[in-house]
Amino acid sequence: MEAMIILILISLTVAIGFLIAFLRSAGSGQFEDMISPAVRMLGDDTPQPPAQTETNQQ
Amino acid sequence: MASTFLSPPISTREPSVVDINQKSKPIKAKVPTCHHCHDRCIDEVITVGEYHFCCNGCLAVYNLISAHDLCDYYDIDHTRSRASLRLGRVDTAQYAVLDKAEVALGLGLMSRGEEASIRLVCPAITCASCLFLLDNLSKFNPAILSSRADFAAKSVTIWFRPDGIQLSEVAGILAKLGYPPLLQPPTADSQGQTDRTASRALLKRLGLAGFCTSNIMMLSFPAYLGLDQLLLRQLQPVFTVLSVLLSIMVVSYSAWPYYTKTWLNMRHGQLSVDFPIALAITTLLFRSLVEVGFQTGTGYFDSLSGLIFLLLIGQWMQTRYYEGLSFGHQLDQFLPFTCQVVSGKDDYSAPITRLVSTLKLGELVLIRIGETLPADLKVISAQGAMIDNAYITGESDAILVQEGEEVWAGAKLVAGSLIGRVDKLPQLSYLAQLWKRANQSSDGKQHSTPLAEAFVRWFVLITLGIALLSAAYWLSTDTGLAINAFTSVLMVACPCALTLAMPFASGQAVSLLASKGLYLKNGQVFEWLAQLNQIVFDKTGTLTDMGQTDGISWYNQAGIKSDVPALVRSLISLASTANNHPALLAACKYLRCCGQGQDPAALKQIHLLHIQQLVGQGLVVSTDHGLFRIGGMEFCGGVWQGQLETPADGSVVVVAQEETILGYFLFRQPLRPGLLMMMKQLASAFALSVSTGDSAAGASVLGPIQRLIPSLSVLFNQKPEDKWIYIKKLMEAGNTVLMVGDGLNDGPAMRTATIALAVTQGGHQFNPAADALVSDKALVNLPSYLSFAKSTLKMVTVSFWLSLVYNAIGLSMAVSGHLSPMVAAFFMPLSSLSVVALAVILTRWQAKRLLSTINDYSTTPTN
Repeated sequence: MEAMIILILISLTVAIGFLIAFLRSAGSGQFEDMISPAVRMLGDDTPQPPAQTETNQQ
Repeated sequence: MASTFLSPPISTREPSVVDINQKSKPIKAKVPTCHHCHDRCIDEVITVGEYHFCCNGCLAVYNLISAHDLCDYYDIDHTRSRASLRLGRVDTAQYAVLDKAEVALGLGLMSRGEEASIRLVCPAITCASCLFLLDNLSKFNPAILSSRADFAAKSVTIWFRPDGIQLSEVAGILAKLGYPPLLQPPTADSQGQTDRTASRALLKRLGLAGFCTSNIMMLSFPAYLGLDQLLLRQLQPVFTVLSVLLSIMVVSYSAWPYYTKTWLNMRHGQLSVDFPIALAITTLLFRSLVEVGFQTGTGYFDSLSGLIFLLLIGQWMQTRYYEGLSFGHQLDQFLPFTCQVVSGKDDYSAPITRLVSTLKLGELVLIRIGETLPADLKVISAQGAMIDNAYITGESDAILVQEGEEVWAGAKLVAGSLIGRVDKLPQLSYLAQLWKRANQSSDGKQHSTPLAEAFVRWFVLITLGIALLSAAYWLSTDTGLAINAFTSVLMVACPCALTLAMPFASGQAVSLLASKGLYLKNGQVFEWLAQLNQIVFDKTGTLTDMGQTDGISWYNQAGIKSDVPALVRSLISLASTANNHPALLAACKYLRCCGQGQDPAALKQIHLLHIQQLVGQGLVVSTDHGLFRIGGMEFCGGVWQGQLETPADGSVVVVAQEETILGYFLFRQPLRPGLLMMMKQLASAFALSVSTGDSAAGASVLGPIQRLIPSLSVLFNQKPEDKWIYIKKLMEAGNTVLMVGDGLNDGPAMRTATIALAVTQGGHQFNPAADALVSDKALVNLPSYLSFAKSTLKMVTVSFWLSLVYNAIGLSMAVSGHLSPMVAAFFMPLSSLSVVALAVILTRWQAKRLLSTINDYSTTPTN
């Protein structure tokens, strides 16, 4: 059963790693703005010639 | 929950209200749309290439954007009106003060080596294009390293090199692009904690609680399954130690605010909902530790962390619901950030810009037109200064101030200029006192919503009673069992209906209402809304529509409707540049709309010499063509040959040249479309009254409503004080009163009413007294909103009963003293979740039933 204990300790360590990652990202404000990144992603495209934009929209 | 706008949450899209009473309007000639701001070009059209612009400001921004190769800005969002971007006069000089180190620090400038960053709030952010532009600020100046816009908070964070560009230049770039930043320090609550840090801390607490809950559950799994093998029994001590460690982490970090809040409330002699929670958490922890310590059981660590996790989820959901609806409760946001200090009484020439927070008693401050007073001042020199106290006293007419008078912080200078000696510092000003009082009363409201208060009191009393009784019952037979029973009762009895169901349901309701055009300050307002029995309306601007230009017409000397003569046209447009009297502005807008103010050649050349406003009477305009008077019939004093007919729903503004009357403007103030229907629906459920400053004759527009609803009480000749006294009387008689007003001349009355609903005319308007905002076009939906609130609260009560049933089952197990950890671990989360689910589902069902006919006023950016 020592194997169980070791496995559980490993799983806990991994989980604590994720917990720390979450706490750090929450602390740096990554979960504050849930809207802009989604919108920003769409705006990042390189400029397209107007004719092509027209066809894309149809 | 996607509507995330900072104050005030007014939709930028033109709402279209379905209205059966609406007449079809004549189609106006097609007016070109501005390429930059998407507004209609009413005043003038500037055409460059294939694009039209409504003003030079928009053209300048377009040139700036195209020069930096950022024309994608115009491809991202084609349709949304960005009228808020229309520039007035760009005054970059006002940002010079930002280059002082203490000012920049006060605004939250962070320096790290050669880099600096600052977060500036730009309320003009409205669409995806704005994000694109503000993310690319680095293209405007190489010293700007990068920038990041935050749509939800309407702010932009900019990283720049202070040696390459000054902060004032950064702000200047923003202003030139049409996003003038607000000069205000970051908001902070009483503990110095900003909203942002508070929400981050909550998220961390939630994360930790979730982590510990899942791990403790995993460790308790063998016990759930009842595996009692020898090997597992060997493992149990390790599991227990881990569970204890994780639980202590949860209680000491995630659950800590419940203890601090309970302590704070107890010191004020109040019993808050945090008390039973803190009690349950403590009991769970200690009983589990004792069981584990004496090796009598496995403890209730899973239930403990699960409970905390669920409670935190509830709290987090609540902040998600309200984050877009910030009503801004910081006083310093409404006072200016900087002011101009002068050294002498007549020294208008060399003012020094200073932070308002560094003002000292006795210093002299120069206030110019359009500025807000930073502190209570004693006027020592005034040049035609007129002050608008609307924000403080609710008085909408501007008053002329003389030397020696005292004026209050927060008042706005609408004409002239003045120099005043600082009499009271901003923090001690009359406005600050008002503010404190208003916030206290709203805090009072928060803690005393009737449903919540009653529930907590009874819940605590009954729980403690049952716990003591069951302990006393077992005490004679078995001391151990008595302690077990006592603690089990405290553990099981969870006020989950109150801490979870109510916030979820009201949060859901608030966000649903926001998408339908009604913005509530918080869930408490919603609860009050459900218990209304009296509605008081203001007339002007609330029931009647001020903004309609088709309600204005010109009648000539003979009393015949006709075109506006050239002399009057030029007079009106001339006077409106110097004075912003509402009647003048309305007339001016009318002239523009019907195309009569467009052609400069048709205007008579007259020159303005002097303009004087006599409050409550009218304007005296002296020009090189003689003296004109604009105002009421007696004021103009001429001899009238024709017949003056004032219709029921109109008022008359006469224009006279010397002793001759040229004619008059007839302003109609028609009732809002759909209003009769709304009043009729409301009358069946509420007591209605209308209070108006007009006389009975002037307010005859209300006739149709009075005929429709005989029980309507109409109060005439009401001054702001009278309205206030009236509301106060109603409140003292035990009524729950909703005051619907435009929020200016009824300020005191609105502050007194249980709920103050401010009707906003499209644009940016804020009122500290308002608990709720509704756009003028959505006002007719009021009956639907109210019936939704009423039925939703009923649904919440249903889920309260369900939670009581659960508690009864749990308690009946607990009093026997035999509450197995496994049953507790399953029962407690299950009961909480089902109560929450019921509340949310019922709320959504009510919304579908009652609100689906109203158009959406959604405010998310679209591409």
